[in-house]
Amino acid sequence: MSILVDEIGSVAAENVGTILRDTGTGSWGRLVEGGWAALGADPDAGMDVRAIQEVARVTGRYSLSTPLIPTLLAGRWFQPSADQIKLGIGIALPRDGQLAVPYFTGSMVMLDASGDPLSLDGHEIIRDSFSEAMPFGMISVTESAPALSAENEAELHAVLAAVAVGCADAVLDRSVRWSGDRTQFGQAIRAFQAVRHMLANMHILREQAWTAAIACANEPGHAARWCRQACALAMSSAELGIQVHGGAGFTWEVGLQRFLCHVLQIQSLTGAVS
Amino acid sequence: MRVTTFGDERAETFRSEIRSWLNGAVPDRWRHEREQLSPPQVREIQQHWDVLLHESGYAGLAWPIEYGGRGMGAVEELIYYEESARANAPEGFGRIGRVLAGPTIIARGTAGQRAKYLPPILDGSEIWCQGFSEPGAGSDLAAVATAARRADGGYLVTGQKVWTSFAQYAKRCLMLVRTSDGPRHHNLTFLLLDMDQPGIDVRPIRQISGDEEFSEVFLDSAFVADEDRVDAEGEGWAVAMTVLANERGTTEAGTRLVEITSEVDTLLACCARRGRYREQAERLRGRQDLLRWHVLRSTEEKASGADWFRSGSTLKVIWSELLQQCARLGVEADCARHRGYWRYRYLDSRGASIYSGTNEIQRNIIADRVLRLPR
Repeated sequence: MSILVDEIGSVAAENVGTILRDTGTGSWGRLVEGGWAALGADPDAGMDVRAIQEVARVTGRYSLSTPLIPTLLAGRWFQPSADQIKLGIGIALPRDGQLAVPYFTGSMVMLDASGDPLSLDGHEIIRDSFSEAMPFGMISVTESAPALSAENEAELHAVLAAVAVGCADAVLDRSVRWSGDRTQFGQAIRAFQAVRHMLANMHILREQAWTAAIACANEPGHAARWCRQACALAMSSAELGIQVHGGAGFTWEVGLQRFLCHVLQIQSLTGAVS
Repeated sequence: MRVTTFGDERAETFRSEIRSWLNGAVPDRWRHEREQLSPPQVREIQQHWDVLLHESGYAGLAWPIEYGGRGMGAVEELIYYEESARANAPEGFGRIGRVLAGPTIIARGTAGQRAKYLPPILDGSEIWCQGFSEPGAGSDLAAVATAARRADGGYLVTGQKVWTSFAQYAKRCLMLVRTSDGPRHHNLTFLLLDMDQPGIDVRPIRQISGDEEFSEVFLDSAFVADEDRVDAEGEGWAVAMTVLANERGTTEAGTRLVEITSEVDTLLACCARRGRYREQAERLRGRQDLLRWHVLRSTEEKASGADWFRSGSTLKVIWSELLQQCARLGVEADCARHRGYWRYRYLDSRGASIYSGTNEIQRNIIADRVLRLPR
């Protein structure tokens, strides 16, 4: 593990980012065609958790609902088939007496936390869409379901912490743009020290969040704590972004809730998993 | 005139009266299931609460008796809010009428306006909204562009207001409009608009919480009669400052104290057996108590004539940030039973540091007008 990321992580992140940006909600097919969804399962790609974090951060930045993250992790943990990867893989995680399948899609293949095919036994899957970017499939279960191994749980924390940082990236980018477009008192609001300081603080918080995510990948024994910290810092940064946007930031139309709800969902899931 | 202070016999008699009334009046659903109620259910209870307050003689406690109030002071009003917090009572739905419109009309309106508008505010039958902000005039409120041009017997108002709380439920609107091309702050006029007329299109705005509490209001030659202008033409900015003084004042802070107390109660219930979060919730309880004392202090200072902005901006920053911290801890603690409630409250609370003048504007006011820092 390292603090710096090697080339494969940077290249993958750049390409995945381009696909997400260019194809939006229809990006899953392109991610599969390009081989990006299979990277976790490809031993030649040599992607470690830090490299997957780079990709994860980009997915947070675009906050589109695709099964890329669980598919990459499932590839790394369970050696799924090419057909399974093509459909996208969901991993069922125990949460509050139920099973939660993050980044749920109706067509995905679902595995339990030990990598076995998930038996639904007639149980209905309820879609929890609190986060548009990270919907959950919620399944009621009567018997205890397998949990992730400690090692995999730590990797999940590290990767989702990186997604949370990507969400903070997106809010900061938008806030910087908004501060140049929005005028009050006859000038762009970025001219005001109060706004400049908020943007600077967003940057500082986001940078600390990324450091926490990297620490999360490097200290698996403390992954839960680092992930919690990364999410908290990303949330604080995004909160300031809403403040920079003023009344508009508080509306659904501007869309900052997409990123904030994504972080909240991660924070809630990783808290429950740990 | 002797000002009533906390601990006076009169104040304490009132405290015991209101405590006894609240114990019997607060709806059980509100007291025990508030966090499970949907936004429409909350609204229904709040609207009923307005009616109940009026029927029981507790609407307009600090309003003069001749305008239907109880003629009490700010201290008794705050005692009401303190006891409401203790009893976990709801806040009424007609808040803008009671806290902003009524006191402004009492302070600066005509006898005709008082007779026409105050009774339905008190009995909860007319809801008011506040037509101040516009797409180009948020923090820079004096930049409002909605224009009122002279017409026979009044004005025709054309333009757009935005982030107008309660507009979709409101019968009346307090409105700041531009009436001339004169110098900044002297080109504005304050009108009382009837929302129930042609030329007004209210479109609810979805907030980040998913709720639709506020709206855009499009005005196309909506009519306001001369007798519904508050103060003289061109004096709108001064009237608006009266409204803002109330919006950032002790009454508003009192209602927020009620809200925060209830939030901290819920937090402590969520975190009862969770050491780290429990500790943080208890710290918030301490800060809620500090807010209570701060509101008490500001109320006594206001009653003895201190400038509103000395305490108003400070209070607004304190309560809004405390409210946000409560909701933030709620989502971080993430108790399964209250998850939906806290997510809603967290997203909703992000507006607290934006509305009523952003907290950056409040800090500017403190720097400029309290500390008198040179620019």
